[in-house]
Amino acid sequence: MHEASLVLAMCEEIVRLAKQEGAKGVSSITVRIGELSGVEKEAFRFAFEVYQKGDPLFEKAELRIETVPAKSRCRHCWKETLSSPFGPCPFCGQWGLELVSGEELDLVRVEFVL
Amino acid sequence: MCEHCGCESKQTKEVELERQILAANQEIAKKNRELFRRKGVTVVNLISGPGSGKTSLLEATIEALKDEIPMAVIEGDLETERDAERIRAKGVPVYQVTTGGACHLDALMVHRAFHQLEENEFRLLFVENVGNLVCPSAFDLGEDLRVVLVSVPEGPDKPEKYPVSFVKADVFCITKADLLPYFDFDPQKVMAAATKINPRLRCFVLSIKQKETLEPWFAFLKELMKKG
Repeated sequence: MHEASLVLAMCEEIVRLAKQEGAKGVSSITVRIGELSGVEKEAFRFAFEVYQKGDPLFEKAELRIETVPAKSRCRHCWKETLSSPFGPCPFCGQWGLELVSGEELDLVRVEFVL
Repeated sequence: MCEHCGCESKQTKEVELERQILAANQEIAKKNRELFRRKGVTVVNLISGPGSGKTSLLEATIEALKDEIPMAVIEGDLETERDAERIRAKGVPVYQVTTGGACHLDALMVHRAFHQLEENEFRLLFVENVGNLVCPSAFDLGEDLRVVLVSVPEGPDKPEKYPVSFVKADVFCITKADLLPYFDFDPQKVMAAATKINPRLRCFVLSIKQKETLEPWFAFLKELMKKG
Protein backbone atom coordinates (compact mmCIF):
# COMPACT_ATOMS: atom_id res chain seq x y z
CA MET A 1 0.00 0.00 0.00
CA HIS A 2 1.76 3.17 1.12
CA GLU A 3 4.99 1.58 2.35
CA ALA A 4 7.12 4.41 0.97
CA SER A 5 5.35 7.06 3.06
CA LEU A 6 5.56 4.81 6.13
CA VAL A 7 9.31 4.36 5.64
CA LEU A 8 9.60 8.12 5.28
CA ALA A 9 7.70 8.70 8.55
CA MET A 10 9.89 6.14 10.31
CA CYS A 11 13.15 7.58 9.00
CA GLU A 12 12.14 11.15 9.89
CA GLU A 13 11.58 9.98 13.46
CA ILE A 14 14.97 8.22 13.50
CA VAL A 15 16.74 11.31 12.11
CA ARG A 16 15.23 13.33 14.96
CA LEU A 17 16.45 10.74 17.50
CA ALA A 18 19.89 10.56 15.91
CA LYS A 19 20.31 14.31 16.41
CA GLN A 20 19.23 13.94 20.03
CA GLU A 21 21.78 11.16 20.59
CA GLY A 22 24.48 12.91 18.58
CA ALA A 23 24.81 9.78 16.43
CA LYS A 24 26.93 9.53 13.30
CA GLY A 25 24.97 6.71 11.77
CA VAL A 26 22.36 4.04 12.23
CA SER A 27 23.49 0.42 12.39
CA SER A 28 20.19 -1.36 12.83
CA ILE A 29 16.44 -0.71 12.93
CA THR A 30 13.93 -3.20 14.33
CA VAL A 31 10.28 -2.85 13.32
CA ARG A 32 7.28 -4.95 14.22
CA ILE A 33 4.73 -5.51 11.47
CA GLY A 34 1.36 -7.12 12.14
CA GLU A 35 -0.07 -9.54 9.61
CA LEU A 36 -3.13 -7.31 9.25
CA SER A 37 -1.40 -3.95 9.35
CA GLY A 38 -1.80 -3.80 5.58
CA VAL A 39 1.95 -3.38 5.24
CA GLU A 40 3.72 -5.65 2.81
CA LYS A 41 7.06 -6.64 4.34
CA GLU A 42 8.92 -6.85 1.04
CA ALA A 43 7.55 -3.52 -0.19
CA PHE A 44 8.57 -1.95 3.14
CA ARG A 45 12.07 -3.37 2.80
CA PHE A 46 12.33 -2.19 -0.81
CA ALA A 47 11.17 1.33 0.09
CA PHE A 48 13.74 1.40 2.90
CA GLU A 49 16.55 0.32 0.55
CA VAL A 50 15.63 3.18 -1.79
CA TYR A 51 15.56 5.68 1.09
CA GLN A 52 18.87 4.35 2.39
CA LYS A 53 20.67 5.30 -0.83
CA GLY A 54 19.65 8.92 -0.42
CA ASP A 55 20.63 9.45 3.21
CA PRO A 56 24.18 8.71 4.43
CA LEU A 57 22.94 8.38 8.03
CA PHE A 58 21.22 5.13 7.00
CA GLU A 59 23.90 3.86 4.59
CA LYS A 60 24.98 0.90 6.73
CA ALA A 61 21.71 0.28 8.55
CA GLU A 62 20.26 -3.19 8.72
CA LEU A 63 16.47 -3.44 8.74
CA ARG A 64 15.09 -6.19 10.99
CA ILE A 65 11.42 -7.05 10.67
CA GLU A 66 9.48 -8.96 13.33
CA THR A 67 6.12 -10.31 12.19
CA VAL A 68 3.11 -10.47 14.52
CA PRO A 69 0.40 -13.00 13.68
CA ALA A 70 -3.25 -11.95 13.66
CA LYS A 71 -4.80 -13.16 16.89
CA SER A 72 -8.45 -12.68 17.71
CA ARG A 73 -10.87 -13.36 20.56
CA CYS A 74 -14.43 -14.62 20.22
CA ARG A 75 -17.09 -12.23 21.55
CA HIS A 76 -19.22 -15.22 22.55
CA CYS A 77 -16.98 -17.91 24.08
CA TRP A 78 -13.96 -15.63 24.79
CA LYS A 79 -11.47 -18.13 23.39
CA GLU A 80 -8.48 -16.84 21.46
CA THR A 81 -7.56 -18.09 18.00
CA LEU A 82 -5.00 -17.58 15.25
CA SER A 83 -7.46 -18.49 12.51
CA SER A 84 -8.85 -15.75 10.23
CA PRO A 85 -10.47 -12.93 12.25
CA PHE A 86 -12.88 -12.44 9.35
CA GLY A 87 -14.42 -15.89 9.67
CA PRO A 88 -16.47 -17.66 12.36
CA CYS A 89 -15.00 -18.74 15.71
CA PRO A 90 -13.30 -22.15 15.27
CA PHE A 91 -14.43 -23.20 18.77
CA CYS A 92 -18.10 -22.24 19.02
CA GLY A 93 -18.84 -21.56 15.33
CA GLN A 94 -20.36 -18.12 15.95
CA TRP A 95 -19.40 -14.96 14.05
CA GLY A 96 -17.95 -11.96 15.81
CA LEU A 97 -14.22 -12.40 16.31
CA GLU A 98 -12.43 -9.34 17.68
CA LEU A 99 -8.85 -8.65 16.75
CA VAL A 100 -6.43 -8.74 19.69
CA SER A 101 -3.16 -8.36 17.80
CA GLY A 102 -1.88 -8.23 14.24
CA GLU A 103 -2.39 -4.57 13.37
CA GLU A 104 0.96 -3.45 14.77
CA LEU A 105 3.31 -1.19 12.90
CA ASP A 106 5.87 -0.29 15.51
CA LEU A 107 9.39 1.00 15.58
CA VAL A 108 10.82 -1.22 18.30
CA ARG A 109 14.53 -0.46 18.55
CA VAL A 110 17.25 1.56 16.85
CA GLU A 111 20.97 1.01 17.17
CA PHE A 112 23.04 4.14 16.60
CA VAL A 113 26.75 4.54 15.83
CA LEU A 114 28.06 7.30 18.06
CA MET B 1 35.29 3.66 14.04
CA CYS B 2 37.81 5.04 16.51
CA GLU B 3 38.95 8.44 15.26
CA HIS B 4 42.52 8.24 16.60
CA CYS B 5 43.97 4.98 15.40
CA GLY B 6 41.57 3.86 12.68
CA CYS B 7 40.71 0.64 14.50
CA GLU B 8 37.38 -1.10 13.94
CA SER B 9 35.97 -0.54 17.41
CA LYS B 10 32.60 1.16 17.21
CA GLN B 11 30.71 2.91 19.92
CA THR B 12 27.06 2.12 19.57
CA LYS B 13 23.91 2.79 21.50
CA GLU B 14 20.68 0.90 21.36
CA VAL B 15 17.47 2.84 21.91
CA GLU B 16 14.29 0.96 22.83
CA LEU B 17 11.33 2.81 21.40
CA GLU B 18 8.13 0.74 21.24
CA ARG B 19 6.62 3.54 19.23
CA GLN B 20 3.92 3.30 16.57
CA ILE B 21 5.21 4.39 13.19
CA LEU B 22 1.85 6.06 12.65
CA ALA B 23 1.98 7.64 16.12
CA ALA B 24 2.35 11.11 14.64
CA ASN B 25 -0.87 10.64 12.65
CA GLN B 26 -2.68 9.25 15.71
CA GLU B 27 -1.60 12.26 17.73
CA ILE B 28 -2.88 14.74 15.13
CA ALA B 29 -6.11 12.74 14.68
CA LYS B 30 -6.71 13.06 18.42
CA LYS B 31 -6.18 16.82 18.23
CA ASN B 32 -8.53 17.00 15.24
CA ARG B 33 -11.20 15.20 17.21
CA GLU B 34 -10.89 17.73 20.06
CA LEU B 35 -10.92 20.64 17.59
CA PHE B 36 -14.02 19.36 15.78
CA ARG B 37 -15.83 18.83 19.09
CA ARG B 38 -14.92 22.32 20.27
CA LYS B 39 -16.25 23.82 17.04
CA GLY B 40 -19.41 21.69 17.20
CA VAL B 41 -18.70 20.01 13.87
CA THR B 42 -19.56 16.38 13.08
CA VAL B 43 -17.09 14.83 10.64
CA VAL B 44 -17.87 11.98 8.23
CA ASN B 45 -15.05 10.23 6.36
CA LEU B 46 -16.08 8.61 3.05
CA ILE B 47 -13.93 5.71 1.85
CA SER B 48 -14.27 3.67 -1.35
CA GLY B 49 -12.47 2.62 -4.50
CA PRO B 50 -12.38 5.14 -7.36
CA GLY B 51 -15.71 5.60 -9.09
CA SER B 52 -18.03 4.17 -6.42
CA GLY B 53 -20.04 7.36 -6.40
CA LYS B 54 -18.75 9.25 -3.36
CA THR B 55 -19.00 12.64 -5.06
CA SER B 56 -22.40 11.87 -6.59
CA LEU B 57 -23.79 10.79 -3.22
CA LEU B 58 -22.41 14.00 -1.70
CA GLU B 59 -24.05 16.11 -4.43
CA ALA B 60 -27.42 14.45 -3.78
CA THR B 61 -26.97 14.78 0.00
CA ILE B 62 -26.08 18.47 -0.25
CA GLU B 63 -29.07 19.16 -2.50
CA ALA B 64 -31.44 17.51 -0.05
CA LEU B 65 -30.05 18.69 3.28
CA LYS B 66 -28.05 21.89 2.87
CA ASP B 67 -30.93 24.15 3.99
CA GLU B 68 -31.43 22.07 7.10
CA ILE B 69 -27.82 21.27 8.03
CA PRO B 70 -25.00 23.71 7.23
CA MET B 71 -22.34 21.60 5.50
CA ALA B 72 -18.81 21.77 4.15
CA VAL B 73 -16.67 19.30 2.21
CA ILE B 74 -12.99 18.40 2.06
CA GLU B 75 -12.10 16.65 -1.18
CA GLY B 76 -9.07 14.37 -1.48
CA ASP B 77 -7.64 13.42 -4.86
CA LEU B 78 -4.24 12.81 -6.35
CA GLU B 79 -4.72 15.63 -8.84
CA THR B 80 -7.27 18.18 -10.14
CA GLU B 81 -9.94 20.42 -8.60
CA ARG B 82 -12.68 18.56 -10.44
CA ASP B 83 -14.55 17.13 -7.48
CA ALA B 84 -14.30 20.42 -5.59
CA GLU B 85 -15.82 22.22 -8.58
CA ARG B 86 -18.75 19.78 -8.61
CA ILE B 87 -19.38 20.37 -4.90
CA ARG B 88 -18.88 24.15 -5.19
CA ALA B 89 -21.57 24.21 -7.87
CA LYS B 90 -23.98 22.90 -5.24
CA GLY B 91 -23.32 25.95 -3.11
CA VAL B 92 -21.40 24.65 -0.10
CA PRO B 93 -17.87 25.57 1.03
CA VAL B 94 -15.30 23.06 -0.20
CA TYR B 95 -11.55 22.67 0.02
CA GLN B 96 -9.65 20.41 -2.36
CA VAL B 97 -6.59 18.57 -1.06
CA THR B 98 -4.44 17.28 -3.90
CA THR B 99 -2.12 14.70 -2.45
CA GLY B 100 0.12 14.67 -5.53
CA GLY B 101 0.49 10.90 -5.47
CA ALA B 102 -0.24 9.88 -1.89
CA CYS B 103 -2.88 7.14 -1.80
CA HIS B 104 -4.76 8.41 1.26
CA LEU B 105 -5.56 11.52 3.30
CA ASP B 106 -3.82 11.81 6.65
CA ALA B 107 -4.81 13.71 9.77
CA LEU B 108 -2.47 16.65 9.07
CA MET B 109 -3.89 17.22 5.57
CA VAL B 110 -7.39 17.29 7.04
CA HIS B 111 -6.28 19.59 9.85
CA ARG B 112 -4.89 22.14 7.40
CA ALA B 113 -7.92 21.87 5.15
CA PHE B 114 -10.21 22.43 8.14
CA HIS B 115 -8.47 25.72 8.93
CA GLN B 116 -9.01 26.81 5.33
CA LEU B 117 -12.75 26.23 5.73
CA GLU B 118 -13.10 27.48 9.28
CA GLU B 119 -14.37 30.99 8.43
CA ASN B 120 -17.54 29.38 7.03
CA GLU B 121 -20.46 28.34 9.20
CA PHE B 122 -21.02 24.59 9.10
CA ARG B 123 -21.98 21.77 11.44
CA LEU B 124 -21.45 18.74 9.21
CA LEU B 125 -18.17 18.18 7.42
CA PHE B 126 -17.76 15.46 4.82
CA VAL B 127 -14.25 14.30 4.00
CA GLU B 128 -14.15 12.54 0.67
CA ASN B 129 -11.03 10.41 0.85
CA VAL B 130 -8.79 9.52 -2.09
CA GLY B 131 -10.46 6.80 -4.18
CA ASN B 132 -8.85 3.69 -2.69
CA LEU B 133 -10.43 0.91 -0.64
CA VAL B 134 -7.18 -0.10 1.06
CA CYS B 135 -4.89 2.64 2.39
CA PRO B 136 -7.31 5.26 3.76
CA SER B 137 -8.51 2.66 6.30
CA ALA B 138 -5.18 2.80 8.11
CA PHE B 139 -5.34 6.55 8.73
CA ASP B 140 -7.54 7.99 11.46
CA LEU B 141 -8.48 11.55 10.50
CA GLY B 142 -10.27 12.35 13.75
CA GLU B 143 -13.66 11.70 12.17
CA ASP B 144 -16.83 10.84 14.11
CA LEU B 145 -18.16 8.46 11.51
CA ARG B 146 -16.52 6.34 8.85
CA VAL B 147 -18.54 5.34 5.80
CA VAL B 148 -17.38 2.71 3.34
CA LEU B 149 -19.05 2.58 -0.11
CA VAL B 150 -19.20 -0.18 -2.72
CA SER B 151 -21.06 0.30 -6.00
CA VAL B 152 -23.01 -2.53 -7.62
CA PRO B 153 -20.74 -2.80 -10.71
CA GLU B 154 -17.69 -3.36 -8.47
CA GLY B 155 -19.04 -6.77 -7.53
CA PRO B 156 -20.45 -8.46 -4.44
CA ASP B 157 -17.22 -9.81 -2.94
CA LYS B 158 -15.70 -6.58 -1.63
CA PRO B 159 -16.42 -7.21 2.09
CA GLU B 160 -14.61 -10.56 1.92
CA LYS B 161 -11.75 -9.20 -0.18
CA TYR B 162 -11.17 -6.00 1.77
CA PRO B 163 -12.29 -6.95 5.29
CA VAL B 164 -10.06 -4.43 7.05
CA SER B 165 -11.92 -1.52 5.44
CA PHE B 166 -15.21 -2.91 6.77
CA VAL B 167 -13.94 -3.74 10.25
CA LYS B 168 -13.04 -0.09 10.83
CA ALA B 169 -16.21 1.45 9.35
CA ASP B 170 -19.46 2.50 11.03
CA VAL B 171 -21.64 2.64 7.93
CA PHE B 172 -21.74 0.63 4.71
CA CYS B 173 -23.44 2.09 1.61
CA ILE B 174 -24.14 0.01 -1.47
CA THR B 175 -24.40 2.57 -4.28
CA LYS B 176 -25.69 2.57 -7.89
CA ALA B 177 -28.51 0.26 -6.80
CA ASP B 178 -30.43 1.18 -9.99
CA LEU B 179 -27.97 -1.18 -11.76
CA LEU B 180 -28.95 -4.21 -9.65
CA PRO B 181 -31.03 -5.78 -12.48
CA TYR B 182 -27.89 -5.98 -14.66
CA PHE B 183 -25.44 -7.54 -12.20
CA ASP B 184 -25.18 -10.67 -10.08
CA PHE B 185 -25.23 -8.66 -6.90
CA ASP B 186 -27.55 -9.66 -4.07
CA PRO B 187 -27.52 -6.70 -1.68
CA GLN B 188 -28.92 -8.79 1.19
CA LYS B 189 -26.07 -11.29 0.86
CA VAL B 190 -23.45 -8.54 0.56
CA MET B 191 -24.80 -6.76 3.66
CA ALA B 192 -24.86 -10.08 5.53
CA ALA B 193 -21.21 -10.70 4.59
CA ALA B 194 -20.26 -7.20 5.76
CA THR B 195 -22.13 -7.41 9.08
CA LYS B 196 -20.60 -10.81 9.78
CA ILE B 197 -17.21 -9.11 9.64
CA ASN B 198 -18.46 -6.11 11.61
CA PRO B 199 -21.77 -6.50 13.46
CA ARG B 200 -21.85 -2.75 14.28
CA LEU B 201 -22.23 -1.72 10.61
CA ARG B 202 -25.31 0.29 9.60
CA CYS B 203 -26.14 -0.60 5.99
CA PHE B 204 -27.86 1.36 3.22
CA VAL B 205 -28.74 0.45 -0.37
CA LEU B 206 -28.73 3.68 -2.38
CA SER B 207 -29.17 5.05 -5.87
CA ILE B 208 -29.01 8.72 -6.72
CA LYS B 209 -31.21 7.90 -9.76
CA GLN B 210 -33.96 6.60 -7.47
CA LYS B 211 -34.40 9.42 -4.99
CA GLU B 212 -36.66 7.43 -2.64
CA THR B 213 -33.75 5.06 -1.85
CA LEU B 214 -31.84 8.01 -0.36
CA GLU B 215 -34.44 8.82 2.31
CA PRO B 216 -33.11 6.38 4.96
CA TRP B 217 -29.59 7.83 4.47
CA PHE B 218 -30.88 11.38 4.89
CA ALA B 219 -32.89 10.38 7.97
CA PHE B 220 -29.78 8.75 9.42
CA LEU B 221 -27.72 11.93 8.90
CA LYS B 222 -30.42 14.10 10.48
CA GLU B 223 -30.51 11.75 13.47
CA LEU B 224 -26.71 11.89 13.69
CA MET B 225 -26.84 15.70 13.78
CA LYS B 226 -29.45 15.68 16.54
CA LYS B 227 -27.11 13.60 18.68
CA GLY B 228 -24.33 16.07 17.83
